[in-house]
Amino acid sequence: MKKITIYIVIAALCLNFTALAQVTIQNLKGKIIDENGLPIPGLNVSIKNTKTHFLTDRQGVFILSKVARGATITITGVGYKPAEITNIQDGDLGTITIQTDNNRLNEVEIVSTGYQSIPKERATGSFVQIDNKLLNRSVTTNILDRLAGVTSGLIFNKNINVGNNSNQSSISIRGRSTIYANPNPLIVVDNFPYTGDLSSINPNDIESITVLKDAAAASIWGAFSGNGVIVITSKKGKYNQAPTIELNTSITIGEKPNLFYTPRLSSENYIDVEHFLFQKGYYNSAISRSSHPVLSPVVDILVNRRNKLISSADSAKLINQYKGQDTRSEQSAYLYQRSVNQQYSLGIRGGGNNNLYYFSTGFNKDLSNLKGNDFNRITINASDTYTFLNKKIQWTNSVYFTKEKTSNNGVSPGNLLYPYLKLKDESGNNLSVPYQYRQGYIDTAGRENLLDWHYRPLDELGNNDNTTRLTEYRYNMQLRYTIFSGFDASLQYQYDEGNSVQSNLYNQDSYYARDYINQFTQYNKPTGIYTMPVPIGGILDDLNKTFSSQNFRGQLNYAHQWNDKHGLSALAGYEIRDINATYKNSRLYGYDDLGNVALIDYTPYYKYFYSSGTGRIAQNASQTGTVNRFISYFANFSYTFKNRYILSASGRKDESNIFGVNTNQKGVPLWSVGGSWEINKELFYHLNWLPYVRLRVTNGYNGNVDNTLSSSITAIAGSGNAYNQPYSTLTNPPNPLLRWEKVNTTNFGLDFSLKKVLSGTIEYYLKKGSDLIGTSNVDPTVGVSIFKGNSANMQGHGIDISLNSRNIEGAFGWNTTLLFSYSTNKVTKYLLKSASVSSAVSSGLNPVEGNPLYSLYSFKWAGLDTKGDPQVYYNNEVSKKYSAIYNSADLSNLQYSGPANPTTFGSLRNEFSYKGFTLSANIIYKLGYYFRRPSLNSSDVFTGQLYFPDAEYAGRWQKAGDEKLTQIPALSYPADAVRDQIYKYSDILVEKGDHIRLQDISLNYEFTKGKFSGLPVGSLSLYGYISNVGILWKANKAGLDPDYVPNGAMIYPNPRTYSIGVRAKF
Amino acid sequence: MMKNIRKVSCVLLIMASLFTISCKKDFLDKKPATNLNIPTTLADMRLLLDNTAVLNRSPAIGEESADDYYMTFEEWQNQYSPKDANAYIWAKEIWAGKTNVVEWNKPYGQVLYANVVLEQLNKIVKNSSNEIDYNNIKGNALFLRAWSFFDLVQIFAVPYDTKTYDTDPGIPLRLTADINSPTTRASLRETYHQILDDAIQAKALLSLPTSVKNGNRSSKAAAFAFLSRIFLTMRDYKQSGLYADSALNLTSALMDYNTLDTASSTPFLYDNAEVIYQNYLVDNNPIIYVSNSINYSIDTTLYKAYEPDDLRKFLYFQNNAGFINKKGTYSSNSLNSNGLTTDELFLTRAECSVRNGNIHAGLEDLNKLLLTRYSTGKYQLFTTSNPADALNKILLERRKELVMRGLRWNDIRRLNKEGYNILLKRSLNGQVYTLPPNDPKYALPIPPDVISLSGIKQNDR
Repeated sequence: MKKITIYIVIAALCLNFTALAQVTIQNLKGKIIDENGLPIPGLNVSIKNTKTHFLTDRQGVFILSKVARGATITITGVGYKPAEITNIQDGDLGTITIQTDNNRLNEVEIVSTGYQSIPKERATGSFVQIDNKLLNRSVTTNILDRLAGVTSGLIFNKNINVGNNSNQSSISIRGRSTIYANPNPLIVVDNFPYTGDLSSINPNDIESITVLKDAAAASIWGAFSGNGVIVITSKKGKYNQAPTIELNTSITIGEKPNLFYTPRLSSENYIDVEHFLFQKGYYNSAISRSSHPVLSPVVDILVNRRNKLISSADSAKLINQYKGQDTRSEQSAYLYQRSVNQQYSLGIRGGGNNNLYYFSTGFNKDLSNLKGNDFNRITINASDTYTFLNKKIQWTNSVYFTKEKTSNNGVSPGNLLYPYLKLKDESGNNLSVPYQYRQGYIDTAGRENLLDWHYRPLDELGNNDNTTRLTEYRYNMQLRYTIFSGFDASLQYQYDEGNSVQSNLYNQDSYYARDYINQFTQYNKPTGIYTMPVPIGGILDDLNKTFSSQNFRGQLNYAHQWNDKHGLSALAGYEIRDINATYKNSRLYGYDDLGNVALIDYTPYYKYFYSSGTGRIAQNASQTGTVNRFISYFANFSYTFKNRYILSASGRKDESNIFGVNTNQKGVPLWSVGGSWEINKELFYHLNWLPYVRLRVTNGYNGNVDNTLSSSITAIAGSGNAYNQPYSTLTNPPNPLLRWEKVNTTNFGLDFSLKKVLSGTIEYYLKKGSDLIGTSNVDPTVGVSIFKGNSANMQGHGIDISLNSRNIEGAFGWNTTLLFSYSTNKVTKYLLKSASVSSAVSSGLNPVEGNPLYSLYSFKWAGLDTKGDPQVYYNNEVSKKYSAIYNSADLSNLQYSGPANPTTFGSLRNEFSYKGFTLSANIIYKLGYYFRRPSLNSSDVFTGQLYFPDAEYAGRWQKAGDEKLTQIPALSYPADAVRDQIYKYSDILVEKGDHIRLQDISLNYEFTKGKFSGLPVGSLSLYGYISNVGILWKANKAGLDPDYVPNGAMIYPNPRTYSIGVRAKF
Repeated sequence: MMKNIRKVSCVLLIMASLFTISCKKDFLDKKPATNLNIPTTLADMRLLLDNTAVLNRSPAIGEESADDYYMTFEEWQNQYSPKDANAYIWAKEIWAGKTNVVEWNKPYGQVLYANVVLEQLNKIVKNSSNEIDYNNIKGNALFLRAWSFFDLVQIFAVPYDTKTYDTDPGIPLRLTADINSPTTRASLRETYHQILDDAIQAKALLSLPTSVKNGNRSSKAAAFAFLSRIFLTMRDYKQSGLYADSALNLTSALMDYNTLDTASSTPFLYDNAEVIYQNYLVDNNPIIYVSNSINYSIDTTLYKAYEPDDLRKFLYFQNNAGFINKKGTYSSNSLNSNGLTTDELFLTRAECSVRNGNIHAGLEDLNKLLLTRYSTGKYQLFTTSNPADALNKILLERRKELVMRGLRWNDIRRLNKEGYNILLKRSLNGQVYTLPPNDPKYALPIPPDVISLSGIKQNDR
């Protein structure tokens, strides 16, 4: 700075003189940095009154040739205050610091692809950047959760039905482009794909996140980019900066979950059903079965009454007592709690002239809503950069360490089989509940010779000891050598290793151990002797997962600007990845605290104590492993002409140990091209109200792989058959043509800003997936009935709009951000025809040509008949031929009810600021999709699955004529499962999913040194945050939150959480 | 400029050499999962053939359709899968539109294993050091293919009859692992020809049995015993008797039932002395419930046919609340064994001897077997000079000895062809269902997905 001031003084003195002495400076050099000492690439450096200009390169360096001595240069760039240097005399301007313009609407966004960082305005592809401020707006333990509701085109999928093999990822970027292959976006952390557990990343260590959405942005990631890429960048130090300490701590309290959210049949009505079923003899087979299956307490009373063991008055009294009880109240009181999450993070960063450093440590302690479940995490992160040889060599070493402990000791509500169970008696003793066997049986079985066989859920809370410990290390090294200005070579290496040990100890008092020992207890009738092949003691299950990955990358980077017209930036390189994982299972019997273990003979078949069946003692030992290896070659270039036309291209080829030789040798690289045009820089452009307009077009391919397939005929080894011989199982038949899936994306983008008020981006995209992995039915006579290969196609298109508006500026400020996304897809080719409509209505993944991948299909409802039976349209007739309808292969008998995932979504965020206060609220909306509401049906009720509205029980068809008043079918005995399925999947139960919710509210108050001179720290923020505030509007009248649709089990919406915290900088 | 070029070439050289060092030529040849195996060696073939859960299983629907058991109306109504209820009453439609029919897919899955092994074997050079292994594995695969085809033809084709076997449809004979080769139905004659061809080749290749501990693997004795069973089904009593004889020459041990524990719920072991080849009926069907559930019972008349001194009455059965459950099977667990055993061979040889005119030899075999089945000293030797009486006694004892061993359905089909006129009858809630002798319904319908995907002809029922 001093240097420049002197120049300016000299310039003023010698103004006339220099005009006379017309001498030319051959090369004028300089380097531009920001206040933090970071080089600023992409700034426009021009000589006043001439056409000569130059853009700074990635090191912030510019070189202007043939500059007249005494000339004035101007430096401009989006996000920075313009600067001028007058009266240039010397060829080397040294380092120039310019000021960030915080008031500019368009702060320069540097997006990172994992291979390079570029200013967003110089990229042709579709990028979304989430900066540090936005990341810190929410207070979550997991970094990815902070993308929710603030990232254009990205949605968090809800109601994922894992058990139904729906292959849905929790995050989708621009909809869906695969069927069976990996549905998850690629996550890149510090330039390499992340193979560890994302929970091990401390969000406080993250500087920013870039989401790569189209082919031009993501195709550099080749066969891994088909679902979009999320690039996470860690914090680093800054050159020439005094040590800065950053402290962040918060506490989040979550409300107890609302267990009454899921509609459920009341205890009273269920007892009514049990009476009915008992009379019909429904339980007779269970009552007399020799394996003593569990009966509900009410049925037990009814049996005793039938056997005249108790009086009718007593049984009525006992049953009445149950009518008034509700297990949910008990669960809420004894199994659930308020959640408490604490976060502490302390970091220090800074740098000198030749080094940078960042060091941080973080601690998280989360107590879950379910008692007994908690999560602890310690993270340590150290990163150091040194430069040598006049900054020609830059060497960065980073080490990350995480230790996590997760306890899973909560009692699953799924073990509480009846709606009226009590967990504690009046005097506070933990009660036993019916679980696997009939209460009367376990009361007397084995007379004293067995272990206590009762299941007391609240005792289990203390007995459970299921802990997972994860340790993860990551070492990341980057070595960069500048060969000459604008051309550098870099080597990067990362080693990542994690080990997770899940130790599930069922101690001797646990129900699991007691039950297992009892099951195998042998009784010798003649001798009267009881023996226990499973020894008394605990049972310890260990699951040991180890993963490690090595990544190596060599890359050359080149950037150069020729006078004011041509700019070129290019990179090329290769990458080698080796990812290993092993899984080890083991089980120990007779385990005690001293580590004693019993020897077990696993070969004999023992008769189970409780039935006539036989079985072996489970050995539960296995070891498997996976190895994924890749070699990739990549290149990328971008050419800028006259600062307003940009042409970009990138390509990548991946070879892998899962593809066949054919694909590895002949596979075509995945590539993309793109162009952009900054119209406002044209001479003819005169729209003053629209100072910035840029058009972008890109097209190219992304890829995806399915790790479960292999090109050769393969068999999977098993450990031991019934004869204790090793054996193997054939997998998918050979497929020498296996290759990666391809997604072609075309993206049209428009970036604009209206003076200082409104700016935004509008994008339209088209996606075409081909060679997608799909299944096809084959004649089972060939030995398999389904074959998987590259046989399916999909198509999709959508719109992403993001608008930022600065509504009011000044002491009181008001900003609004609107995100709008529309995304739809359809399957265009799928060889496997649904063999019956039953799989189309019920399976989690039901590709049908012409419809979105996730769609709801339903039977067309035709009302109840005079017997209260459901009717639907079948071959255009009102029909009750349930079995024929359900097993029909003719999909034309189904109604397409609509997409099952939101097609329109986004958010509206308003931020108000006044003095040090900032208040913001985010409203998110999801529209254009459908879900099925649960309703009463006989099969479910009879088997005790009671999750439907209680009122439907009284409101069901009960007598002739009711069919005019209700659509809820009669309870029919015996239950006809197919009849019930027809109703369950009829369109009368389909509801619109559209809804709007107030996702969160954040309040921040910042103390600055300017206002509080006594402040001992540089800056101090206090913040409060409320998450899951509530649903504002929903289209369905069933009272359901479409993000939490019950599907045969109790669920509850994420409880509201309240956080307060402090963020300070020293 | 020259300096820069030198520097650049130097850097390029370093980077290229780093690539070569870090990445060897076979880097991408590593298999993606440790437990994933590309079967190429004889040991790999052995692993495939030892997949007992896939290979040593036969459909149970024949036994389900036979007359050795009954279930109550209540249970019949509550059958989880409609095919079990339909098969019980010999309905016209069995599969209720369901695809992935285990009775079809399981045996053809086994055929794929056999074909994969046979095709991969072609790529292995046989020499003096691997010859025994090679032959055994090839014999094993051929035995397996014959076994699966035999299972299929008993269910999906009408009984063997030389009068009509050129026009009676058999089953598709898949002899390749290539999933693209078309499926066609062979005639019944071609089907049996292929089964015999595979089994006879296997017979020549397989070694003598080593240990009953490896009862899941076929041996020369197993091939003889299996051929005897095939020929019996074909009513070729001469060949059947000869093969039974060959098998019994290799192994003829019988257990003395007096040494077994009648109180035990599993009195027999899977590796008992009589087992030549171990195979099981698939579970998840009424046959499994007959072993341990009330409302399922062994046919009352059949149960009454066991005399009080007959130990089988106590080793085979237990009374479960009035229902006769079949407890002991030759499998150590509740799966029903339909493997090859010496007791079956004695009965087959006895029957063939009588049919071939040698009553004396037949009764000798029968008495030898029954002596081990009765309480010591309580068995009265059976004697007669009337061939029909002898045959009836042997057939009754065959039914009693081999109850729930997956053979009754085959025997009914065969004996009806011999004119025994066995009428199958079920009574459910007052309604009576029958299956007349030699009815076309003795061949079950081919699953609907097979018909629609392959276009082969459905059975007339």
